[in-house]
Amino acid sequence: MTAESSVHPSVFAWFAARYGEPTPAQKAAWPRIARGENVLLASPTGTGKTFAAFLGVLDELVRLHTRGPLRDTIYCVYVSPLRALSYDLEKNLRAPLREWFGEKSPIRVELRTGDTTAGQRARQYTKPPHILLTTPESLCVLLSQEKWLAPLASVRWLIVDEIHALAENKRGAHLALSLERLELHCGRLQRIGLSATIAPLEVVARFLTGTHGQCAVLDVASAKKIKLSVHTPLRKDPYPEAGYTGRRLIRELGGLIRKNRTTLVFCNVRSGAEATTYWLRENFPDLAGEIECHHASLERDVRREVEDRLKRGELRAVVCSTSLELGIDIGSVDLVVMMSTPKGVSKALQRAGRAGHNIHSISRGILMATNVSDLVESCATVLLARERQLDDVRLPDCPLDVLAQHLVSMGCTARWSRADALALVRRAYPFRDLDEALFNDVLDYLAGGGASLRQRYREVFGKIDLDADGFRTREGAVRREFLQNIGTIPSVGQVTVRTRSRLLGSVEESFIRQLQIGDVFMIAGHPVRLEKMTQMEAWVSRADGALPTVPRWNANKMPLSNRVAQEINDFRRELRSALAESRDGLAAWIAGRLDCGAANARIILQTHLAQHDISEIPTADFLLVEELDDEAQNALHYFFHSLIGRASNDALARVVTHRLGETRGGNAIATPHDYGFVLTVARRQRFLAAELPKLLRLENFDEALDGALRRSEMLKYHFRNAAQTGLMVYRNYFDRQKSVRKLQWSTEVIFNVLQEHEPDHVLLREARRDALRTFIDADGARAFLARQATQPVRLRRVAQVPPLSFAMYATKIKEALLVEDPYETMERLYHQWWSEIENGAASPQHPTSNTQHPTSNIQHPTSNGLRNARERGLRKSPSKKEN
Amino acid sequence: MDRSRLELEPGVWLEKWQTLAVADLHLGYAWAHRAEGQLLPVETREDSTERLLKLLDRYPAEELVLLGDVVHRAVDVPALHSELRWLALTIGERARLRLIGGNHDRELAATLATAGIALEIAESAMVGPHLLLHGDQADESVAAAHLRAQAAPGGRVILGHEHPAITLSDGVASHVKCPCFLAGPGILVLPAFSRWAAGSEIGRYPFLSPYPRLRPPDCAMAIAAGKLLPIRLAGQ
Repeated sequence: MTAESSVHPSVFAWFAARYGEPTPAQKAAWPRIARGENVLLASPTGTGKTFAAFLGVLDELVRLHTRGPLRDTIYCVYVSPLRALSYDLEKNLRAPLREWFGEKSPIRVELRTGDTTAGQRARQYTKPPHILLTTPESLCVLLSQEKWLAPLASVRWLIVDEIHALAENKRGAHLALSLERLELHCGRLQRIGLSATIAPLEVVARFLTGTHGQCAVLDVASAKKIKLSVHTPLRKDPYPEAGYTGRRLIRELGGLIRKNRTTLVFCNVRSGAEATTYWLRENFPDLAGEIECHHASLERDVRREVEDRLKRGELRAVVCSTSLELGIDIGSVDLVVMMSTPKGVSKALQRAGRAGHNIHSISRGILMATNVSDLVESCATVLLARERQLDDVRLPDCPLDVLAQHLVSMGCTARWSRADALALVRRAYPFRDLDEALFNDVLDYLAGGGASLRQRYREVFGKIDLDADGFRTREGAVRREFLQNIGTIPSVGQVTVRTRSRLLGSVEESFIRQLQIGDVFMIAGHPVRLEKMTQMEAWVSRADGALPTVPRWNANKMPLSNRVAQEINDFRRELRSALAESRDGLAAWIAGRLDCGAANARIILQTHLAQHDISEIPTADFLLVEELDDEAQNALHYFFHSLIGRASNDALARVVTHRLGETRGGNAIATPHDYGFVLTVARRQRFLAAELPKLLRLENFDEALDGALRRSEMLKYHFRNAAQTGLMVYRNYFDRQKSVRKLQWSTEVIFNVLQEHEPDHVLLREARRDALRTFIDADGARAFLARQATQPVRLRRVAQVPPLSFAMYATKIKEALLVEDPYETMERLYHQWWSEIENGAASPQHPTSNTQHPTSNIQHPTSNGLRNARERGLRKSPSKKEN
Repeated sequence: MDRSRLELEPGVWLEKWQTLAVADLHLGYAWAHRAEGQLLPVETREDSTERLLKLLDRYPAEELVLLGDVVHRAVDVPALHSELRWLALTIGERARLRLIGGNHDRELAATLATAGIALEIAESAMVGPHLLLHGDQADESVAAAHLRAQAAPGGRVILGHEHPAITLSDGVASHVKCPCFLAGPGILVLPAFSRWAAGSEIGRYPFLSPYPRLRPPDCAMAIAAGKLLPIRLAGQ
């Protein structure tokens, strides 16, 4: 069956007339979909995935319609992680329908999200649409209501868009359960998944179709040509003066923006997006009106406006965090610039894929490296991207809070036997290995407690009625409240920022708490002055011309992917052996190896030679630990060069610190980083080399990590999410209204009570599981220790901060400073340490003698601290000279 | 100040009048949330009564005053009824139990009646020159009057309601939030007795009660590692 013959002739003719030749994605997908197969289509954005999925569906509906009027029931459900995607799709589907049928199309498409009004919902129930566009949460809301079972029973096609953005987190696990329930209900469901570049596709296919389905995997990723390159504003000096790089970066970025019609700039964090927008506007005032900011903490209206302007071609540049990675329609973009590495090959390709006008044009992506480590990492990323060596995606494994939520949802529409419910849950890929005992524990929890408790107290007020055979969700308030609390997205301590007339976005409570009335910060790249604070809202006014502070958002920092880490390790090893032979021709070798150009190769060489001279170049064949004496602080810093990514180093550092605490006592502090971690101890706690292997032994790793996490903020954070998703507390209860009285209570207390009295509570278990897999990577740490067990550990004393330890050390110091512009801080520190190296090892300076003392601005940050830092650190443009 | 002492459990012992006072028990916290549909753990019995009995072991108290928020919410739940009965019975054998009503105790009187407990709920109590109340008084002028009245005979207004806590830090990465007493001329704020109370960090938000607003405490006594740590407070 060819692409053409798989679709009705008039539909195909319409398509050909409108869009021309079908894209490779469409050619690959149509015949398979027409045959009724489950399909996973992997292809970059802008390759026609929408019509690849939908044309067959529309075609079939048209055929049905010619045979007789369509019933008022749902035939196709489309799920995407973003409401914005569904909005776009609605428009894109209505267009052909209007062309075929005029205004009153017999095939109806409707949107169902959290934004759908009560009136619209009622209408959707009385006259269900044929194609329903929705989100994972809203789908579950429908599945939880008996009255929706009838219209859902007729669903034939289930399309999941941006499936790569769902598979790897709990939202995806939540959706996976919904898919199994829907299929059980419909009898047969054809599942179509649309994905961007991700690996391994087989796992994503399993995620889509569950443990019992077959799936055709169509990898059309190479359909779009993506060209990645690395730029850096560094020229001759690897670590120039503070502000130099920043200034240069903005200048170069501005230059790129001028040379292109529309540029999309990705920053890894929201504060970076804000700062970059602001500085671009300051330095290029003639373009200021055409440069906008876009990130998840900006109000949706603000974001929509930016998206619309972008689509209309009115903007020269949009600076965003990860918010524009997914396929929201933003028109055509000439160039994608990524500020500093995207921390993974898939991300680099996904972001670059946003550029290009049509399927045939080349998508250009530039990685802007801001320092030498960044430069090496960016080069490694580009090399891997060229070979399509993608990082592996990892799916959550039996998230119990999601399970709890779904069991309550299931119980709303039927009474379930334990056996049937367990069998259904196990069909979902993330729950394939669910332990029966654990399943029963979750049921006990939902019922209000174990059997003996339920016997003792009549009113355990559980969510379900449970007996030996099965369960059903209690009626009345329980169901009503449940419908209001479906979802997995945790609510965070945010404060809304608004002007008199408009909501602008939100900032973290911890940031706004440091400010006083009159202080200026930025949002959407504009300076705003704080006029008034209520519990939930910050009222501001525009303060153009004033000098703003960049807000902080506590977003997860993406860790370095294993692939890129490996590539960097390989480079270091090769450089080491080349160096052992001779110093001649090394720059040329580096230029060839990293494909980075002569100038970059020289500064990379300079840095690594300095590392070699002061210490040595670390590789993955041994563990380099550098000891730096910090007399000023009466401390010793140990730089562990485990290049395994921040998430794995976080786990490793916690274990090492925990073990230190147990054997030696005292306070050791460890700061994890992508490239290793820094361990700081009191000087009298200096180690001997012989002690290191004990800290790094693999046995009892799990116990040590468990001990380390037990009272950690991280575990409490995960518990808080689990408590919300798992229906222990209402999503917004402890944050809602934010009255001070409510602030006196917190999930932390529940956590403490459970830890003490019920350490095996299902939600604590979920918090632990989540903690070990999400921001920290216990598996990665364990794998490293296993490898390291047969390799040497080398302890070296150093007199200055070695170049390959700059980044780790700067992170340690930077994280203690809440207020200074982190970018400027890093530049200043790097320059200082590099100067100390260049000035020779003869008179070892105390590396921290000029450095900001880490304690000076923390814990009870007063607004004085804020003002001092502002006066000291921020000037109208990045500073010329420090001190 | 007469020979009273702050008790770590926490509470205050007013020696001259052989009276113990604690605040903010919030009995039935978990049950109150259960009644609202939140699955907080109820498996573990509250140990508030046991802790109070231990206090009565230590001090020859004739009277124990509960300064309000005795319950978190007076839900109609047998478990809460039995908890209250147990409290009334066991404490009642050792000392006179006086209840002062707090903002969470609105329906407590009815619940006590249902549970068959003969205890009155007062708005406040005088113990020597000290005025004991919960602190949820809305009217500032009334609060001001109370503060003035107690000052003359060297008394204090003793209240709860605030759940005061303070964060202690080593200046680098470790910090811990501790419940604390707040003391000043003529005023003493007790930390919450309930294990469920997370504690409200002082200085973060304005006081709920007009009493500490009008008479800002100048010292926080943090309960940390089995000791009381006095911390001077700068003006709010």
